[in-house]
Amino acid sequence: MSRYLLGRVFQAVGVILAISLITFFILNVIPGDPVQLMMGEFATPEAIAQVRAQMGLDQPIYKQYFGWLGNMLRGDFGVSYFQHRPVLDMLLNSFGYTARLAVFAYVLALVFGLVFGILAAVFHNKFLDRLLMTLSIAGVSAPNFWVAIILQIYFGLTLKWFPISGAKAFNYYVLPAVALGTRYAASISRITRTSMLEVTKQDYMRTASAKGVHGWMLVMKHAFRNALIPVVTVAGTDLGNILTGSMLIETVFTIDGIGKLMVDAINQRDLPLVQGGVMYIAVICVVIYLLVDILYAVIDPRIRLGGGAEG
Amino acid sequence: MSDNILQVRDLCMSFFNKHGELPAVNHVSFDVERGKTLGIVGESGCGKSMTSLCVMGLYPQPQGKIVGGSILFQGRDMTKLPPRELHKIRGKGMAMIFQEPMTSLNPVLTIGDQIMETIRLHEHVSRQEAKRRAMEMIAMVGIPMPEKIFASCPHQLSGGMRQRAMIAMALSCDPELLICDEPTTALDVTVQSQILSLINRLKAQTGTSVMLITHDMGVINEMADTVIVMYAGQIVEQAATADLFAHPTHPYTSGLIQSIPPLNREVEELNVIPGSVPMLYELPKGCLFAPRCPYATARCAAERPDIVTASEGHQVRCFRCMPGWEGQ
Ligand SMILES: Nc1ncnc2c1ncn2[C@@H]1O[C@H](COP(=O)(O)OP(=O)(O)O)[C@@H](O)[C@H]1O
Ligand SMILES: [Mg+2]
Repeated sequence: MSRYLLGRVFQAVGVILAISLITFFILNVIPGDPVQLMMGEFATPEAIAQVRAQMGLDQPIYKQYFGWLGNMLRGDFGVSYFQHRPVLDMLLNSFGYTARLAVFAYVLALVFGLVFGILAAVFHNKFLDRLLMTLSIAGVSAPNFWVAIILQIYFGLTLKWFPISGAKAFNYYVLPAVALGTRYAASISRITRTSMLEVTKQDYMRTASAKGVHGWMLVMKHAFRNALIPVVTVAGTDLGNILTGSMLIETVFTIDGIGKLMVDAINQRDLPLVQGGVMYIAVICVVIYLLVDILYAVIDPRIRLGGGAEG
Repeated sequence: MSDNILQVRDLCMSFFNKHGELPAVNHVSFDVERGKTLGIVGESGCGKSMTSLCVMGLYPQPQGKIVGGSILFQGRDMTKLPPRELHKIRGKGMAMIFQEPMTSLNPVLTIGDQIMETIRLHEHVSRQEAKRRAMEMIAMVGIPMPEKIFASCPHQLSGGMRQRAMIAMALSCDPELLICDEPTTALDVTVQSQILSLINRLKAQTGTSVMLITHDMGVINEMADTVIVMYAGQIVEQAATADLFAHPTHPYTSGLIQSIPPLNREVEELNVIPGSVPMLYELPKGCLFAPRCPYATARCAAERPDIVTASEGHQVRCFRCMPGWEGQ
């Protein structure tokens, strides 16, 4: 177990380093000089050079990279070119909104995805299965900003049940969370159903029936636990996607989350902010994959305990 | 009348699919006597597993359906019992072990959990008591270090150990009938004989009756008191084991006996029956075995023989055992 974990942690660190390298160099070669952009068209070359030197942009690029990396490790993500605030503060501040939105959306996606997936498998080929799977196709294929707008119009403007912009209290999050979570609920329900049906065919399910196990005990204890392994992969990736893919929803519902922050930063070529944001996304994804790997080990003793006797 | 734990009468189970009705179990009748072993033998695809799954009520549904006959277990007809009653019988009254020990145990539960589950399901005992009994079962099937195995997961055990664990699980509630569907087919030869003698020892120890399915006449010879030989869903011969080996009457039975690999000798050329078991959707019109039978006549190709009594306790489905054969 611990060797498995240690390997994964090393891998995760490696991935984060690689991403930092790529991010730094790509962002430094894309066209558009931020200093030029910051100082406007009429700045003199001397003034520009001076500012570049102040910001360390005249150093060799590898020095800039190690400087940036070293600072980041010390918690210093630099200062936004345009808002002149520490990037880390801005990220953390926005992260609160994004995290709350993501958690609500994810809980919805998990609960509905798992329940619908299990029900569809239990009532395989019956009416309920067909109904849920039709809904899930709609859910997977509907773009989330479109779902968001429909929800705003119906539940916000027509019924006036929920506010449609801002993030002041819990009820502000309901519509955005539903809009963001829908497609993930749909995809989790589909993989849960497929995986449950696959498990139902396995020999050990017949063994369980032969022991007299039946009903929900058969479904949950014997089928669901085995079916969870592929579901965890999808659900883990989905958590990453939800945390890092809420830009459109944040824009539609005017929530000041990371997504909105990033969109603005990119438009302004605010390099430190973009780099910090990309690193945020990378770290979130890597940590989530790490958690998924740990979860595998918890669910599946073949991973937890390693290989045993064969034959 | 003898004391039969199981009486199967005229059992018919068919699959229904695009080919229409496919009779996988075709008018099968047999008895399992209390404390005795009934062997079911036949090549792969002859309907042995389906017959045993019908007895357990675990045949594939809804593709498969029991379309006739009865399965009396301790006097109650398994084909008519409501699911609630069947759940109580499975694992307690009758238990089953399967061909594939590698895949028949739940990979995410420990061996101990899986054995305790059966006990807790059928008997109202505390966790400690269930654990004590599970441990006892593990020791009884000859698994070394019961505590360690109790906490192990299936993937940590060898095939032979898994099959022992399956047997421990099956016997944990002291069933009246133990169904073994090719319990040793997937195992190494040395392990095979260990498992077979284990089954024999436990049978003597617990008095359970056994229904043993195999494609190996050698196993039948070693284990069974009575035998039914199945071919393409039908019983083609039925007799006491000694009688069957002394007087194999159906050409299929003779073929199976001749194809037993000789012990301790390099097999040069095994005497196998030419051809293969017909698929259910292309059964021959006459005797099902006729296309592979060295004695087949025009009548065999045209008509299906009934099963008839050849001698006391020995039944055969072949025209050669019927009056008028010599004349042909
Ligand atoms: N789900 C199914 N649909 C149609 N035919 C089936 C199905 N399952 C098994 N069969 C057929 O039933 C017959 C008996 O199978 P089985 O009892 O497993 O044979 P055995 O155990 O003797 O090898 C075979 O011809 C097989 O092809
Ligand atoms: Mg079989």
